[in-house]
Amino acid sequence: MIRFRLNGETVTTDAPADTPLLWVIREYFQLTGSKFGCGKGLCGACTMHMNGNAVRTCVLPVAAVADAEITTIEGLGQPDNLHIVQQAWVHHNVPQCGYCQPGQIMSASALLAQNPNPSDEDIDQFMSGNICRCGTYPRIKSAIKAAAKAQSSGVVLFDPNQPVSAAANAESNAMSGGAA
Amino acid sequence: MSKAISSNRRDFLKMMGITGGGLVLGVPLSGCASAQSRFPYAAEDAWQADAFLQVTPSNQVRFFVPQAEMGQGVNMGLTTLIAEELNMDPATIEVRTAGIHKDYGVPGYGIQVTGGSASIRVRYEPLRQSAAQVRELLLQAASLRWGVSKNQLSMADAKISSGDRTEGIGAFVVDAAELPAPESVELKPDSELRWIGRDRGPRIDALAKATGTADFGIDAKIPGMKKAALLRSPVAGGKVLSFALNGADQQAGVHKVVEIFNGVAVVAEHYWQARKALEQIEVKWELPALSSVSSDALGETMAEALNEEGQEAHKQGEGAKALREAASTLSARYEAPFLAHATMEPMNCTVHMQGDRAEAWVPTQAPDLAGNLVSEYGGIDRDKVQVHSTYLGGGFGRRAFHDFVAEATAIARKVKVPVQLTWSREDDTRNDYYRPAATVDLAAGLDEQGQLQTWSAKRAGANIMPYMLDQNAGALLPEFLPDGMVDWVSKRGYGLFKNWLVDPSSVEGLYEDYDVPNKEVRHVTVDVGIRTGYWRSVGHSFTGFFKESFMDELAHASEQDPLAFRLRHLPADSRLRKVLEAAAQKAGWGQPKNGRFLGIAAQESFESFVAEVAEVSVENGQIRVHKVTCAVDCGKVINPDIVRSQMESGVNFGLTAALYGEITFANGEVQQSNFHDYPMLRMNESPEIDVVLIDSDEHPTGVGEPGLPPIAPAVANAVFAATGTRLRSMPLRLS
Repeated sequence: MIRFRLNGETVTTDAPADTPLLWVIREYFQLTGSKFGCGKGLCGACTMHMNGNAVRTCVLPVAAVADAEITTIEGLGQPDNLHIVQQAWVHHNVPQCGYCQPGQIMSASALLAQNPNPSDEDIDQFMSGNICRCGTYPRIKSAIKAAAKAQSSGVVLFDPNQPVSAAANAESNAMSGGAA
Repeated sequence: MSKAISSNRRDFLKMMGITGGGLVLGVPLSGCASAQSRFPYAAEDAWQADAFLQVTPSNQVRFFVPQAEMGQGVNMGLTTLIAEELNMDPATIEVRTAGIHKDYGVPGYGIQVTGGSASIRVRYEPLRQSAAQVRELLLQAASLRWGVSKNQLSMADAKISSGDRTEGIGAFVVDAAELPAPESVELKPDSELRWIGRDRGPRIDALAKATGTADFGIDAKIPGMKKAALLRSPVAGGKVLSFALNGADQQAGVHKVVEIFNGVAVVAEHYWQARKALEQIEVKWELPALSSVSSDALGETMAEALNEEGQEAHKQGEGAKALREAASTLSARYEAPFLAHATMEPMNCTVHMQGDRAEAWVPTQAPDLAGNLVSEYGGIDRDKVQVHSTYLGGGFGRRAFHDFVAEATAIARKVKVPVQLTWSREDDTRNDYYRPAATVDLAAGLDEQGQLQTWSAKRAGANIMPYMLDQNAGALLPEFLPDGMVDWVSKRGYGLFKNWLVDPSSVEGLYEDYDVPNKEVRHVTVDVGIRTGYWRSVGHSFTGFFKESFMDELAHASEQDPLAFRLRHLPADSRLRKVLEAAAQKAGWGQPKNGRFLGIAAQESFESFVAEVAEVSVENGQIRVHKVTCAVDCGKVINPDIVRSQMESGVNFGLTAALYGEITFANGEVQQSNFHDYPMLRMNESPEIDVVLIDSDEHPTGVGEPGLPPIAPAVANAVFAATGTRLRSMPLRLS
């Protein structure tokens, strides 16, 4: 029996110790926001936070997370309570097929937690472990920068409870002083 | 019949109609509505005017999207059309993905398929008409109830108003359901458009996809469902001779081990258990003829094939004969490799067999083709199969082929519980329907003024259509046809495309774009048994590289500017000319920055026009793409930001192919397996992408694929500008 914290709650699992965390989260806890992409830690679709760090969970045995704090995309923010990175993702129309995006968002939010104002090079370096086959990289970069800025100024980038056009207008007014 | 048919793959059903002896293969979308119950998804709580739209008494509009959302933004695009005619925010419409029904068939195709960048092109008017009809019926119901004429009524944001009186549209659905459909409806005039052509909010699937709540095929959760992993032959098409379990069936969680038509599957409680148990199984395979094929020898086979005369695919003027009269000629051979799709979501399918019926959850580009394989491999009548289409974690053409559906069904049939089959990344890389490799001999003749007089192209390589037909002949041909006939049409039998018909997708894009009086295109089929499939932009994915690189060669050989050379072969009103000029102007053509070099290319594909300028540097033999400027004319733009994002996507997808993409074979085995040896473009290699949208009143066309074809030649042409080295083979490598 392995015990860890999952999205703020203490949980236990009887999954075999060598089962990758990804499959434990997806099948034993039925949280399927984290995705299977490669099984070799090469694409980042499975990224979660372990004690605040971005980790590739398709190659992380569940035994290794005993007593650790695990956060998945479901724990980062919900549709009615979005993390600033998720707001930026919606506002910048980042997702296309969307399959890699939970992993991208978990990486991006870990980056901003460590480095609140990353440069282009910082973003390139930190995000290059996450593959997006749709090629949304330019928007990911813009969204991370917008999230960094909004995080420091307390601006809401997207509020799903507001009509979309109103939210978009409010944001573009709020952001209009900034550099493109 | 020896003359080739020059048309797009979207015509393939029509062509099937011809080649199959004039058979009617599908029922086109019917505009005539009869009783309400004949519509799919009939709901007791809603009025349904046709297969696409429902309105509930609580003012909710539901839209059943007949196309697959695989990232290209079709949910947003088509919902925008509905929203426009209903005059309401697209974000307030409840969007569901439609399953199989003949009313969802693509107009003109018969089958329900998402491909060929067709969704907007073929659905623009029919869907607007559907929504306009709903609007008119609701207004008519209000007009009768309130005793005011229809032109005193207005409808906006799911409400109908007259003077200071306002009610939700739900109040009129019971009355509207009783009214006869109007003979014709008028679409909103362009001057009143509120949503088409504007960015008024994020795409409607963005929130679900940013929160992990969007359900893909791999996320299907069916009560009692078990997980399966499948061991296949190392050479595609091999058969199981015998196998040793080595205790695999005794492993914890393992439910059953079953043999199916192409391998041995472990079915377990959890996927990891299935994967691990699978590693213990040893299979003796009967290998197919493909096991004698290696990439090294394939190059020679292609070269030899190009010595053959081949079949005529296109001819105008005097054809290649006119080369003899040219003041100067140039010829070159170009090559492109096999490519895997590498969708981020590996192939997967969930099947639940229930007596004489079955349900399947499939991320698919063609639900009726998927459903037909469930029928065929499950031994179930076609009309007893229900397919639930999910979001697709990438499609790019891969999910128009359904081998994984056949596998999942065969497994489910044996274990009699709901089963989800999930491929590993290695399974996915090694069992694709690959973009066919192609080798082309190009030759051109110029007159003394440097004007092209003759364009000749001969392509060697495999065709895709036989593989499509092989898998789907059963679905495409009527059920009453004898099996022998189906086999004859498919690759299983006679081999329709081997000798007497050129598959349009083998040569599309190789010759159409420029005005040249004499053209000739020939084709030599080289099919060694490697499965081929539609890969984003299909034939254009290699012909764009061939044609536009060779145009660059011709410009340099005749000492002309590559842009000016292209423009002199395009008429003044040409849409390709317009995008070339726009991209060149925005990119600063002719004035590259210090240490940077520019290359330009353009291609019409799927009735959209795209030109791209790549800004490149080369250091120590490494090609670095810094910036891409892209101009697109896709007719009237529905969602500008989705057009921009699809151009960005096409560029980056095409860059992966241009810089890295190559699938090779050794003794029939695919030599690549995962992202370490079949690499994808990553964040640090992604260029800045600047997209220019051409203002156009032409009929809207698609954008999912057309951004791709120009990028590889634009980069190769920039590399030539930087180094003087002409790269005639993909991927582009300087050493």
